[in-house]
Amino acid sequence: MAAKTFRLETPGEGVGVVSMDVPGEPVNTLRADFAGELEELLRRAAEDPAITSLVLTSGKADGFIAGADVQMLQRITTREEATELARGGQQAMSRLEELGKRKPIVAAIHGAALGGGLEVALACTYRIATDDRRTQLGQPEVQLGLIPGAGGTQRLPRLIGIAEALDLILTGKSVRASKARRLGLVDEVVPRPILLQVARRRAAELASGALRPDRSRVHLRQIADREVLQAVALEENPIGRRILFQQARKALLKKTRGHYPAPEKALEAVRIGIEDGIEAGLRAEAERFGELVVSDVSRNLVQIFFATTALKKDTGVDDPSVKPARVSKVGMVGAGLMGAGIAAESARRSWRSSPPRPTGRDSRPAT
Amino acid sequence: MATRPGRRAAIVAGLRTPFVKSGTSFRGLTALDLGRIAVSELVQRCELPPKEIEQIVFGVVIPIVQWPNIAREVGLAAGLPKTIEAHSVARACATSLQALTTAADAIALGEVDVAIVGGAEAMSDVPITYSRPVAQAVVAAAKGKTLVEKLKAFREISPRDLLPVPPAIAEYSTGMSMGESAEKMAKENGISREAQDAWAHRSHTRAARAWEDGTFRKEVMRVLVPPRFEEVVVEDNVVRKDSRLEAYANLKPVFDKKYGSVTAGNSSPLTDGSAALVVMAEEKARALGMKPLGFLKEYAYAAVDPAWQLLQAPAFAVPKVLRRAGMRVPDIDVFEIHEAFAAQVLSNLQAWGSKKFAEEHLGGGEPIGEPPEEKINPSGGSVALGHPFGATGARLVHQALRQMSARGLGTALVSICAAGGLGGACILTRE
Ligand SMILES: CC(C)(COP(=O)(O)OP(=O)(O)OC[C@H]1O[C@@H](n2cnc3c(N)ncnc32)[C@H](O)[C@@H]1OP(=O)(O)O)[C@@H](O)C(=O)NCCC(=O)NCCS
Repeated sequence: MAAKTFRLETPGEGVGVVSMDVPGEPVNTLRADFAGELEELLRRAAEDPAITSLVLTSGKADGFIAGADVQMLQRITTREEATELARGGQQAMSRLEELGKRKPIVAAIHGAALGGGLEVALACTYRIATDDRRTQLGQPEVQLGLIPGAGGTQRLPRLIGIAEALDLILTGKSVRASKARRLGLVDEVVPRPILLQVARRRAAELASGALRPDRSRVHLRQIADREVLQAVALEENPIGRRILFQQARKALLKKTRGHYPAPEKALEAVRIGIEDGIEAGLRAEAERFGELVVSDVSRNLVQIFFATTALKKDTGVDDPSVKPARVSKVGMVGAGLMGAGIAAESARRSWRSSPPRPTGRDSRPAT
Repeated sequence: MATRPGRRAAIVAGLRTPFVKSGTSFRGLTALDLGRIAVSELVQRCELPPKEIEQIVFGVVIPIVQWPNIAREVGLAAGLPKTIEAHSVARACATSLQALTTAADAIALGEVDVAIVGGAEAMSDVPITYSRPVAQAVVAAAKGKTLVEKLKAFREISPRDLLPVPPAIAEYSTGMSMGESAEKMAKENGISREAQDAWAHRSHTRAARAWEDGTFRKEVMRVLVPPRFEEVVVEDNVVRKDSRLEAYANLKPVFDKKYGSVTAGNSSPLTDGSAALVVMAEEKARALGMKPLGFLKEYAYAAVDPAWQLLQAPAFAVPKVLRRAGMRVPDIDVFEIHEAFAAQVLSNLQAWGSKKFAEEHLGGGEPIGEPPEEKINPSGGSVALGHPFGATGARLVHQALRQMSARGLGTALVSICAAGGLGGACILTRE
């Protein structure tokens, strides 16, 4: 039997701990063939009377779930196939959400929770993130010419408000835990060593009713700034909402000049979900996701993604036995733009570099 | 096994003031006052002819600009011969251990025969400084020749710059306070609130018993508080004579209000006090007819990355000092471990006993092992007695020596964690 990706432990007090650990990979990514295993495990958890709540976490040392497996997306050839994949992901998330209504599920997040990883967390009942610098949350899909495909365009605006959700989905930027807390994206931020301990406690408290997540959509308490208040006011009524979407679209087009379809499609999916309900929204999300996966723009952005990733590992020579040497000290001759750049990069990596000395009139000292 | 080269340093006497919570009985005193009080009484009591003293090594952790070399001022203020050379040392909470080992080295080398060492802290009297912009403006103004020039220097000052800056008990390199670091260690090492509270309760209970049964009578002087000399301070005032374990559980965490476990009850408090020792070459003690309380057999210092576990350097310094002395934990009769926080003591002990720690940090081999609890801090530690930074090292050494003489024991180990990720340890023997 193949090594398992998900494990379920019941360490007591009714709290089951599900940990995801893709065997043999440095980070967790989501693949279509995990759905069966997860479903089976959730069914076991649902039926087990000894389990009253769950914690969902990662078995990797420094990462939650980094998103969908991009290689898998690349192998898809038709739009229908991609839409189907999104539907599958959406259904898995919906099942998670449904189970959470009976047996609360706490996402315990340390490290990157991006794309599909964040969508998994969004489908949980409660989210706790570590205050570690490595903890990042976001929907970076647009950077690959895609949109969230497992309910992100629907659950995120419902959780943190339309304006803030659009800010994340349309730009693809990720946020640290403290910002996520302010947005209401996570319910709690804790020091790393006690993540699981607090998650278990909260799971038990949610199950017993001792804790109710605070879901006043945007945490006004924490966000006192006027702009957001205005945005919320706009969102509360249909006319205001339309203005909001129109403005978002206009701002978008100014930036993309119509060359990048993904942000626009994401905006549509969010809008349809808000105006016509979550079912319509999910359908719109899956369809648009399907269109985009096979689009030239996305294919090229994915290529660029792979190329830059490969470049980071490139040694510059073909011989695979050549390994980069460890550098601790850099000496430099020439202090022009290049020299300055190299000096700055060396400093960033804490390599000691002897500052290049300006020699000619055109040379400037490096930083 | 190898012993320290050169002449052996004998500790012949020691004394400390009572340790009191800052802002209480000693609030009108400076570290210099406290240092003077302890040193002059110590010299009187041990009947050491002052002319025999050749060196004073003394320290304070929070520096005072008016007397940057406290060792010199203590000697002068205590009325000792003005010809005694003096220098000050600083090693955060291990400052007066540093004073001892510095003097011991001078003795080993034959540089001096007799030295007074120690330290003091007056947390009630900390220097409040101005922000850098104000300080720079004042310096610039002093250079200005005309009134206009002088005033010009202050043009750039904003009202915020005028706020005085109190010294922080925080790491300069990381910005994290001691308490936050202790909190981090508690979490990373899985030290529970219950274990910390139990340790603190134990510390108070033992300290209270030691005060009751007269253990501290020879170690602690009475202080007639200047300038009025109306109040007499007889005992440490941090020690809780009625410590109850349940009371600790009610205290709120201070440094991490939501998830924390470090409270005022299981931390050492901010404290005023001073402690000093008389050290001399073994043969000098014999010549003067003074009976040593014990000898400094070996010492070691270590450091860790302050951003890691700030107060974990004893986990390195103690194995190091044992190796140098060729000794093992079971060879030691008494352990005096500085208790900055209960969480830190328990983290240090955990590391000493951990095979994993030995593998990951000490290059493999067996861990040194955790000493049995009854050998550790038999008369309480800093959580209950207080922690005047500069004085704690000398307090620990003296307390260890007195334990040994009272109970006829032969070997003691002193372990101190200090700001900056530093740690120090020494082994004392008695014959
Ligand atoms: C922890 C710390 C912030 C607490 O300071 P504080 O607030 O002045 O503490 P207090 O002594 O006033 O104690 C607070 C409360 O706890 C109570 N308390 C303290 N110890 C207690 C005990 N053992 N049992 C019961 N109650 C206790 C006090 O009575 C007080 O209660 P009150 O407010 O009702 O009077 C301070 O002592 C500190 O900073 N310590 C660390 C020092 C440090 O960093 N040292 C460097 C080490 S290297």
